[in-house]
Amino acid sequence: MPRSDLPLPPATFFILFALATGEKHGYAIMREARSLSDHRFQIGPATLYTTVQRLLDSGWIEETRGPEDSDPRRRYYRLTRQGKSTLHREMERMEALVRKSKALKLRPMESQS
Amino acid sequence: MIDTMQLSSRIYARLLVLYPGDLRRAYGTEMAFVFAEDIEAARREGGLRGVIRVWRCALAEFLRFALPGHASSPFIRVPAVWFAFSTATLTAEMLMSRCRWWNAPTFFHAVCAALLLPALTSPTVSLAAVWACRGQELTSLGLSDAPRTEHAPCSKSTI
Repeated sequence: MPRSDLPLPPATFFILFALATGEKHGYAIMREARSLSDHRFQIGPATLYTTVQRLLDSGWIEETRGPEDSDPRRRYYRLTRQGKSTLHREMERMEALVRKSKALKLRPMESQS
Repeated sequence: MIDTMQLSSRIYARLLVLYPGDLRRAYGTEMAFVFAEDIEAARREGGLRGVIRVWRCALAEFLRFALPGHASSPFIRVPAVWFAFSTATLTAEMLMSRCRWWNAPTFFHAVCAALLLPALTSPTVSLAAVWACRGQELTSLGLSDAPRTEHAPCSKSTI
């Protein structure tokens, strides 16, 4: 995926981020995304599966069989190498922004101390 | 007796019928399942506030994903324009009346109200017709314990 596709939309970013720790089904992705965003970002089922389909089409995630004892109604997904690379580049982009804001003393915590 | 959470899940499963066909066919069962799990967890963790949060999100998604597909239908668009026109006329008349510029006769109010009624009912009837036509799909969107079937993938055009 070209670098110009960054920054990622919030739903894409949080779904990739949620899958970074291993394969998950839809509801686990939703919960993990909410937890990672400190409950500030809410993904509903339609946004979740619309984004999942786009990520499958892009080759950033893939569907897996899931654990042996999993509920057959669930579908499991995991990051592909391409997806990991995209997430990594997005994290680097964010880190670079934070570094710049620190250098300019724009962060409230930094400027107060 | 059906409890509130089951009722919520059933209502959501039925609303899914109005979502775009590709998304519904590929992920309808999972969406209904995920919503049911989410609203149950929200009730356990946050009570009524949690349930409201989940429904608010679901309704926002409904407006974003489901309604645009039906807005192209003349059965939705014509009444919407009609509703906007009659509401604007009624508001303008009320403002003019308050400012004593023009005192409209009573029958004018009756005409405006008569215009508003079909404008409100026809989109509802239209959506209900779509719902009824797709009624056979409800069985695959319910929260049954049957194993899921293989789904055709969504096309990119709907996403």
